[in-house]
Amino acid sequence: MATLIEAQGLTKTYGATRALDGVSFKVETGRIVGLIGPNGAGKTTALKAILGLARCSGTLSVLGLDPYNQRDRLTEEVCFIADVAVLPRWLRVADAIDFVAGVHPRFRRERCEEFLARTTIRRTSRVKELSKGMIVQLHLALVMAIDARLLVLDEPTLGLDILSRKRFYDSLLSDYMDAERTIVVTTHQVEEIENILTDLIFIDRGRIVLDLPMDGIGNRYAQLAVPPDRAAAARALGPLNERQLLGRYVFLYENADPAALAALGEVRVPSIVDLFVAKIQGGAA
Amino acid sequence: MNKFLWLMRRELWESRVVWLAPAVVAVAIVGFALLSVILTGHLHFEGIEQETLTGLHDQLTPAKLDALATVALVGLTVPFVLLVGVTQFLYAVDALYGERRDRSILFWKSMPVSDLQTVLAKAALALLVLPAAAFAAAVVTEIAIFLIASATLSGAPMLISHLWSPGVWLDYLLASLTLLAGGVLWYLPLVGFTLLLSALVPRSPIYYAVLLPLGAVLLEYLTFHTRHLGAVLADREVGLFPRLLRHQGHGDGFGLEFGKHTVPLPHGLVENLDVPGFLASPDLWIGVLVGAALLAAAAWVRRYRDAAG
Repeated sequence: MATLIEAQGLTKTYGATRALDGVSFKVETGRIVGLIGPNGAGKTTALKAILGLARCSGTLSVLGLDPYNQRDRLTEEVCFIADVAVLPRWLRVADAIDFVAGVHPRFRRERCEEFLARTTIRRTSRVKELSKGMIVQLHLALVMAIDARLLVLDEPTLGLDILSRKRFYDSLLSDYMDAERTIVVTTHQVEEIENILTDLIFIDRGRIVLDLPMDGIGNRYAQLAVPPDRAAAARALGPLNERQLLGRYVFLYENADPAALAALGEVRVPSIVDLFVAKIQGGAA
Repeated sequence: MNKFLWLMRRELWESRVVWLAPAVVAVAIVGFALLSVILTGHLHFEGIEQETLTGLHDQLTPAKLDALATVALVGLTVPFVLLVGVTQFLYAVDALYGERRDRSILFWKSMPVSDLQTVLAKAALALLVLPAAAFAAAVVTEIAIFLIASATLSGAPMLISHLWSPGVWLDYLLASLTLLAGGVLWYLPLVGFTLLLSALVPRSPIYYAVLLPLGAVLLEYLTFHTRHLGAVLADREVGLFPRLLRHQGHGDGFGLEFGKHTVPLPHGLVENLDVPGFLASPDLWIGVLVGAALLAAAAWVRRYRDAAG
């Protein structure tokens, strides 16, 4: 598998704040990577660096290019949706399609038309006349019709209702994703992308606190639920964090002995949300 | 269609003022002329009463009639020239700020279009498309007004025939197109400056674009008691016309006689064009260089303003 993005010691400071503090990671072709972190963790800075919109120290290569200095070449191969509000309000749907078709050599109009045909968006509407959900559909239709190798999504579903969010990710998986394409996505609505991700990167205060494939989570992390009388024994095994849930104690472990955990209670693979809380809040506490 | 033309079309979708403003002015002038005909029964022709005009008719030679028609064309062009001054400024001041304000810049930046291409497209719209649209509206207005004049100035058949003289029109069109082309070069630094501010300042670029030059002029006056900057700026605003179209018609007695007074008339516009003189003017090329640098700076700012942090 080819490496699409490679970051080494990426650092970015804004005044006294370190938005990125020596971040290193790799993204391979054909993956869907979730970049997850609390507000101000450095997610957007990392994405901006990948898109060549922010200058960082350290080394960064995207599709073999230096995104900051070779941005003009990168934009043909990389697409991004920054968030839902960025399509200009005065733009007419038909004009938007014409424009992208006019300036983007990899845009395939029929794909875009095909996708829009499944929505209720009218060609004569202006963006300001569309609902938030429709604007996202339009933006996605424009971007999905571009034969790009990397798609970067920064909170793409912010402010959308559940149905629109679900539709967004369904379209992304069924109509866009294939083995040649790669998606990097950040979102707060972690539970919604849990099932589509292939890789997970947690970022907190400018540092990467977790970086692993989704199918590797089960090997490394385990969640154990025990009744109160076994809490002390569970605590002794060194959990990342603990919480109480419906009269039971729930512990999250990293690299724990599966047999020792199973002897105490019910063990399962933690959800991304639980893992997130344990790694980020637990680590901070 | 190539990328650059798409960028210009995009500007036209966004800034309807480019074609709407000249259309409104054209409709207003023609409407006012029609209203004047309906209310008073005749046309006020360049401030000269119809009776006066008819009275003058006999002393007018064909050359003077051509000159009168030229004066009418130029007179009808003036409102559009002033309009371009205003719309060019309003367009340029918002051109790179609007996309930041509504954050659509992130959408435009996701397209394979360089910042320089974007800035050049906006400059081309301000310097070329906007004046050309206003000029087209001026020509339509002139044809409409001359049609109204032809229908109502029945007392001056000679003048009417000269209003439609191909020689007069050719002269006017050639001179106007030369001025349009000259304006692209002459106004480059003003448009470049306005676009740079539009890309650079945090908010309300229109205030910066008005107050910065005013403040600089005032500062110069208070500090050195000189007015060089003000003179340079004023010359940049209006200096195109005296440079490219030399003032003439005075002193040779060619004109309309009103008793003792003679109102001078032009002999023709093209023969008074001074293209070599204009092109040889250092002011022009200094302006072009400054303008090019300002456009490059605007592109640089659009590319890097939030990137360096």
